Amino acid sequence: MGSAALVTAGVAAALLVVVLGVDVTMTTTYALDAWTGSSWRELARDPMSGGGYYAQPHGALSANASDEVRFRLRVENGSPWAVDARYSILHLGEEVVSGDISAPARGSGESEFSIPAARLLDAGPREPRPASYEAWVMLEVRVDGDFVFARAPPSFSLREVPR
Amino acid sequence: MSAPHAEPGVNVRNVLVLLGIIITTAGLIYFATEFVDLISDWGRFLSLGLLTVIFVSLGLHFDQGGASEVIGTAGWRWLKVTNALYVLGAIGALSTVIAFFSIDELDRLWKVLGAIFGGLALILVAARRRKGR
Repeated sequence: MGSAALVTAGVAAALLVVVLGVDVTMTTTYALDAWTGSSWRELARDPMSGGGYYAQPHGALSANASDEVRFRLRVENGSPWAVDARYSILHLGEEVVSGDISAPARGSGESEFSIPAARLLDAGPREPRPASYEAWVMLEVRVDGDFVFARAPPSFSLREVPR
Repeated sequence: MSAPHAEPGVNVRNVLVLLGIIITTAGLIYFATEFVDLISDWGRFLSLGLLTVIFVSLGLHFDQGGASEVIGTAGWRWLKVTNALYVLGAIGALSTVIAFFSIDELDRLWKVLGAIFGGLALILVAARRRKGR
């Protein structure tokens, strides 16, 4: 009986390692990037890799009120089946953009979208704004109805620049 | 006159087992908090279920092995390796059920049926084992 119980514990421990290993390997990761004018800057990642609990210090994005701010949603699919999902972007609780994103099995995919800068800047004070006005923007992302980036929502400063 | 070197009453093997339990539990809590995003609902449920099986099986194993007290002196006999493992097993079982209820993909009807019939099955198995002894 004693050895049988020990064998059971050993088999369960081996299964535990297998279950966790397979589960971690099959993780699907989402990331949201913003276009800075010269490169893409990652705003959020879900799940976060180690040490990603705190936002990196970034400079503000700059845009004229008539500009469009470009974003890119990326997916890295670790599962052995394809991902095909519907996403929506919310700002202050209202949906501003929606689209589709897909990735093949164990592959990656991305979907670009843009939001009018005026929409993101409008959360701040009305005209006249100070010359160096910066709005703090926080977005919510839903993929197939579920919120991603829930632990650290994508956020950034948006500086309004005159044309 | 008492003996100059009295028996301390500490079971070194059981102390090591208890230390192993404490360190393993700390590691599991750390893993659960650091990798919470990487583990799916089903993975969490299965992992906790397997952990429960491990703890209870080890408890049964040490129960068969005789003395499981960590300190043999009066007042400390309650501190047993088997007790620690069974308590961890109970916590693991409760956590498994909570993880089962948290699976979004599963309809609530299946959750209710799974929990009730799973619990009843355990009770029936235990009753048959007791009768069979």
